[in-house]
Amino acid sequence: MRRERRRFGLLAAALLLPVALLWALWAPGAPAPGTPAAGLQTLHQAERAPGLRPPDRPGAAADWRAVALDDAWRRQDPPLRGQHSYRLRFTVPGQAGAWAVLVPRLGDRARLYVNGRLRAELGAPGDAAGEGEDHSGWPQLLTLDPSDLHPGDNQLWVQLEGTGWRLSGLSRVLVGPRAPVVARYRQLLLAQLTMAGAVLGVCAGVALLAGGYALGWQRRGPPPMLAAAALLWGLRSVLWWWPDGGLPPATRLLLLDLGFAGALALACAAALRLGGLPSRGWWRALLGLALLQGPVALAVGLGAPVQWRAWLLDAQVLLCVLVLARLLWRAAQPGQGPARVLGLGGLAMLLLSGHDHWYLFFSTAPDAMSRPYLTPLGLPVFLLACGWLLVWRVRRALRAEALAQRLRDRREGLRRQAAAHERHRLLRQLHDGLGAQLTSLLSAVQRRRIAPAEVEQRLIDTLDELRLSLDLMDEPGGDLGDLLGQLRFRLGPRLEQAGLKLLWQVPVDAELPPPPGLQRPGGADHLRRWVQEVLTNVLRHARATQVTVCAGPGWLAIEDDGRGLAADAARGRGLRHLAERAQALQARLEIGAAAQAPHGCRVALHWAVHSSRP
Amino acid sequence: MSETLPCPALPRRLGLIEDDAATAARLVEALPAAGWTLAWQAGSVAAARAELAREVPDGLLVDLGLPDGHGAALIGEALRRRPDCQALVISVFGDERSVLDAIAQGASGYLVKGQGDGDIARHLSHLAEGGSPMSPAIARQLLTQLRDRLPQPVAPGPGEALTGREHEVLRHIARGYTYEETAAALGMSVNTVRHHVKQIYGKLAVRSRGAAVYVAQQRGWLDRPDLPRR
Repeated sequence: MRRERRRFGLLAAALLLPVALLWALWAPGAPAPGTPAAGLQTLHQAERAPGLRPPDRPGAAADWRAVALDDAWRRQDPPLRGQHSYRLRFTVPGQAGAWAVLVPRLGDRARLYVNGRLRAELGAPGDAAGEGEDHSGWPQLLTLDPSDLHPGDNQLWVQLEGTGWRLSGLSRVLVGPRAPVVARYRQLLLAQLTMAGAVLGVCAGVALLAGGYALGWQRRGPPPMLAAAALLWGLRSVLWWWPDGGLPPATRLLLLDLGFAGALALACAAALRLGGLPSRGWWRALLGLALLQGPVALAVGLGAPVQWRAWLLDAQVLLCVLVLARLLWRAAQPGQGPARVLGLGGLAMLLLSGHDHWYLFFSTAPDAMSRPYLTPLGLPVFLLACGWLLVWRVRRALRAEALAQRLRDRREGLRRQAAAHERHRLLRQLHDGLGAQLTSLLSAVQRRRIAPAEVEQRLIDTLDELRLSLDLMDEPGGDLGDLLGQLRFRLGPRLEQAGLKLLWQVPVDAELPPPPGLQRPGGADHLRRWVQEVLTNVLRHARATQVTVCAGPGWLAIEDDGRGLAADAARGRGLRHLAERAQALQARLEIGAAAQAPHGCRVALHWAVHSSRP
Repeated sequence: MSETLPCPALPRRLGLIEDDAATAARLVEALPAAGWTLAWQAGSVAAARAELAREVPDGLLVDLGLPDGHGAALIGEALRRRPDCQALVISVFGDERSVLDAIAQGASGYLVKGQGDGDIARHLSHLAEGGSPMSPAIARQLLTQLRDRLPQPVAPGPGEALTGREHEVLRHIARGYTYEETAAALGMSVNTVRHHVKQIYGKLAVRSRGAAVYVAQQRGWLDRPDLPRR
């Protein structure tokens, strides 16, 4: 059990992987937050013309329209796709040193010219060879030599191509002396790398944890689902950020969409089960939509309307939102502490995706497109919540198992202790009772100091004693009436031999719960000896002619018609024994005058009787 | 049951199976006064088998711990050959477990050794009258069996379930009442109580499997497909 816990502890530590990755990224020294440095120009305006036009053949002036670089193009209908050329102006003061241009985002392939000279080429726009490339995920830095620029007006010329299924656009552009521009670029790059590190770290951690758990313990259910979701999302993220995918666009599209839909479906299904809401219907709907993504992506790649893809993704997201709503509803119920983590994780995923959705499609902020894109982080946050819940569940199960083991050990110990105690008691009883009686009898016989009749009587007494002991070694039976019955069977003849009349008043049909202490080791022996000692006292000291044994629920009394307790000081020591036995039986001892006879004594035990048998 | 165990005329013949010579001698001495004559005497399972092959007497006194085996098996063998044979177990303590085992084999009671000669004579004469002693512990055990383990009679034949009177007798004995007190409480004679006790023993024996098969054979039930197997 301890080894299991250690093994699982190692697996659970995988969840710390993103922290380690982020620390490794940030430890080299994060740049100070960007303060607008002197001499930096942000270009908000450009002119745009359709087609990939070279700077030396701009075409007719009527083709060029002034546009704001504020992401409005993302909301254009029909969306901005295909090939476009942009020209932007910036001013260089008298003596320019080393300069740089920073484009936070452009899509998807581009050629950048400065003052008519080609300075950078990303994925060869217009060339089928670069079709699979996508550079929109990363900021682009263009370093310029002093010879590239001249004082006064300068021109930045950008050719763009959005590859069929993606939008082609340009964010604001930052131009200025190289040092502050590079510092800003590093900031953006680090933010992007941090995001990638977090996403890949979480995916790797969750995949390790859930996959390890699935391999080692549970091959079905949430763990393998969670592992598959994390793996899919991790691979998809790599593909997403990798500019030169090296794949045909249709294949790349298919993989990206399948990765998105599959990871989302698996994560939602795993979360439902982890949250205690297993449902075959939800699972089928999620899986069905995810699998539909394949044919649709293929169809779009072959020329079907791109909206098909969007609609299917929307349906998928809607289903996911419904799942999250269900989880949140359940988390809101009382007593669902751990499920709340799932709800919160889901909520965080929605907020992160909503953030992007807002900035891409609704916000009018001019810098919307240069803001960090948070959607890739959404699902990992949710996966992290699922992983945490898995760890919590498994740790609780392991702890419960450890506790159960301890309980079993403790019980076994108690059982052994009780057995040892019982053995010890029996040995003492045999030694002090039977052993002592037989030894004294043997000694008397050896010294010829005893009459044969007395030997016989003492042997009979000894056998009676042994029979009583054997009776008690059998299961006590549980009912006081049965125990008293057997006692009477053994003790009755001796009382009658002594000339004492025994009146037996034990109800035949009522249930007589025994005193609580009877169930403890030696309890039956205490009761038997209590009865025996009371009767012996009556025989020896009371000068009685009859004795009555009566019992009822919660009490047992022995009454004689002798000379009463007050007249009999010799009973004192015996009474102490009776009190001790009563205590061991968890009953109250009462000694007083006989209730019925004009004289005599009544010795009784009283105990609490709880409800009758269920 | 009284139809299947008819009472033959006195004096009745008894087989004694006991390996302790002193105990055997005491019992043999006590037999005539209690209305029995000794048919044969054996000190081992093998010897007893040989004697049983020759004659199954009216009564059997069986010590359970014999040098070459357990005496309880002999009771079953004897009863298969002569169902009206009354077998009594000789017990040191009268503790319920060994006695109940023997009763399940078909014994109709037990005799406690290690008591005074007077007690043994009394028990043997009760046996001659058809009664056998029953301790409260045995009565309790029987009641428990009736309640828990045998909710329904083994066979639906007449007389196998305890009658209400028999049940009352059993309950009184289990709570420590003597035969005399039980008789007084239930408004019957002591002999009737003894008769009831004997009936109870007999019914318990029928409930045991061997005896049930025997009874079933006697009554031609074995070709019934619904005969319970226990």
